[in-house]
Parts: sequence; structure tokens; C-alpha cells
Amino acid sequence: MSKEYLLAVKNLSCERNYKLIFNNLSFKLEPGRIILINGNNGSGKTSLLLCIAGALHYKGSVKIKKQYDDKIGYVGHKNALHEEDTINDYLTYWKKIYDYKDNFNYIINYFNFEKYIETPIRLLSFGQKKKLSFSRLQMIKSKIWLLDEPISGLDKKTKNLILNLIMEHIKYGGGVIATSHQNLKFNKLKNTMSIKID
Amino acid sequence: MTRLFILFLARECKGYLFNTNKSWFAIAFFLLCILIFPLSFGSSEDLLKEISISSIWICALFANLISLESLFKEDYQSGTLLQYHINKIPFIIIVSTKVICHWVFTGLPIIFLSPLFLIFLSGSYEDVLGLFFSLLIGTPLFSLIGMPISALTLGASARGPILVFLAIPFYLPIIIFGVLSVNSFKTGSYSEYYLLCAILSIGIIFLPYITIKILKESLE
Repeated sequence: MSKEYLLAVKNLSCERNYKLIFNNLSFKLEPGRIILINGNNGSGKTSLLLCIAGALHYKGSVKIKKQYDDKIGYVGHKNALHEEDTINDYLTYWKKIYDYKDNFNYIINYFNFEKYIETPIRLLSFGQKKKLSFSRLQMIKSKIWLLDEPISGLDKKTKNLILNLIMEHIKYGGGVIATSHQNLKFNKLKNTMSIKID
Repeated sequence: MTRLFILFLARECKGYLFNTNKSWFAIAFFLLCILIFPLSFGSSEDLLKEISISSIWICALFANLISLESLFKEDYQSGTLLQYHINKIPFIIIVSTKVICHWVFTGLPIIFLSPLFLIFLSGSYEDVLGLFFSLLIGTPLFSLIGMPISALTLGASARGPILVFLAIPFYLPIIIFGVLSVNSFKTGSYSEYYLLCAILSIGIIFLPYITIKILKESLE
């Protein structure tokens, strides 16, 4: 009997501007597993994530478990941050969109946003913006996380904060597909699978 | 669905009320344009009276064009549209709240200001009602027609000029029938109003879906 999976990718191919980006990729994301997509810049890592998320046309099949179909957590290069909004505005807005019932105070504490809660997003640093994107993931309550270069450009402290968050997510049965052109810390974990795209 | 509709509507309204370059800029542009007409015609009062309705319509068109650029821009550039798409949020809610707010904050003020400016330009009250009703049908059409064009030009580098060149040919019938409808109001024949209403009905049904299709393609 096949093991339970969160999403299954079969013979996935993608073309952009009449150019084949990747061809016949197949893998399964199981609960508690991380799939690392490695490759150089421009190799198609982001396109692969967008295909899985359903934002790009593709050939092949991407099967997502029914209950997670409309709940995919995606953190990419652009993260729905409106420059004029404050952190509070952002969290309140996405809380309502995701119909997240709990209070988001623990998210504020986890990411150390207490001091900046009324700060406009345009005044935040790159790292703080990245943390804010991850705070949105906490509210979607998705089992499937698609992370595009989750730790690139971050300082050591923020990197660890995000890596811990990912580890926590997989500990509770979530699955992560992350792209990176660097070696991520969880490369050595036994529940990590690497896929190389050229 | 209703919860999301109210949420998006509230966010759009907030954007228009507190983001100064969104609605006030279009209204300010409309007022400025209207003020230029009497200055440029000098002592030719009869000519000014004759072209007053057309000039108000043209100013309304340009004010609408100016505000069109920002319709989807921020959501597209910030990646918000992509997040909505990935999270399967129905685009019909996004598109309909955007067009409603666009009309309420840029079209509606023009409808109420225009009769005053018509009196100011022509010095008579006779066309006030006709202009009011023609703009009441015409300005939502401007917002509706502009919406897919705004979505179509999202990725373009010289977006502003391209948007103007693409939009104006589609606005021409509205301007023509809009101006004619004001004159026909006096005679009691409302054929142009009926035609504008017909275009508006078709527009309400089809243009949001065309916009959704274009928006999804632009995210590719």
C-alpha cells in the first residue's frame, strides 16, 4: 500500500517563452518531509514551485490532497506586502482572509515584532519583511509549504528562526518544498530529499 | 464569499480614502482640466457654451484614465494577486470590489461635480439633468472598459502611454453616445441612453470575466 502523501508530482514539465524549463519531474511530498530543489540561478526552481502552486501552466500532473487544495503556503520573492500597511494591518488582513480564529500575539512574539507593530512595511529591512511573510504562513494553517529561497539574504539569527519554524512544521506532519542555491542546514536530515534542476 | 467581498471592499475603500494618489489625484485632475477650458477660450462665450458638455465628458475620460493605472498595479507588483491565486480566492470578488470602488471614488464625485461645472461653463441650467444621467451611465462604463485594459498592461514597461493608447478607442463610442444623449434628453428621445444602458449591461456581465482571464495570464 502506498504511503500517505500531501502532494504527488508526476511527469511534470514546464515551458516558458517556448523554452523547456524542466522535463518529466516526479516526486511525492509526504508528511514530515522536506524536498529541496537545488539548482543554479535561472534553472527553473521558482517555476517548479509556481507550477505546483497552480500559478503556471504545466504538462503532467500535480495531485494535492483534497483538504489542502486551497491551502498552500507560498513564500516567494514577492510576498504580498503593501508598503503603506503596518505590520498590524498586514497580519489583521491575512488573519481575516484565512479566517484564522486565534490571536496572532504569539506570532508577533515569535518574530519579535512587538516594537514594530505599527511600523509601515516600507520602513522594514529585507529580513524583517521575510519574517513577516513567514508570519502569514502561520495563519494559513497549511500542511504544504512552498518556499522559494527561504533563507537567502538573511542574517544568522533570522536564518535560525526560520529554519526552526520549518523544523517545527515538519515535526507536526507538514511537508516543505524549498528551493535553494545554497546548502540548507536540514540537508543532512534523513527525511530530506534533494532534487537537482539544471 | 460574502465575508471576503466585504473584506476586500473595506480594504479598497481604505486604499482610496487614505492613499492620496489614488482617488484625489483623479478628481484634482478633473477640476484642473475643467478650469483650463474657460481660460483657453477667453472671450468666446458662445463657443464655450457649445463645447461645455463635450469638455466635461473629455475631462471625465482623462480623469478616469489617470486613475486606471493604479487599479491592479500595487497588488500585482507586491505579489498579492499571486497569493490570492495560489490560495484560490475567487478573482471575481477582487475584480468586482476593485471596479465598484474605482467608480465610487473617481466616477461618482465627477457625476456630482459636473452639473455645477456645466452651469459654470455654459451659464444655463437646461442640460444639467441630461448630463447627470448620461454620466451616471457613462462613468461606470469607463471603469468597466478600463479594467481589462489596465490588467492587460500590467507587465508593460511604458505602462501609462500604452494604457492610454489602448483605452481611448474603446472609450470613443461612450463619449459619442454620452454627449449625444445629453442633447437628446431635451427632446425627450432617449435612444442614446438606452444604447448606453445596453452596453453597460453587457459590460457588467462580460468585462469582469475578461479581466479575470487577463489577470491570471499576467501572473504566468
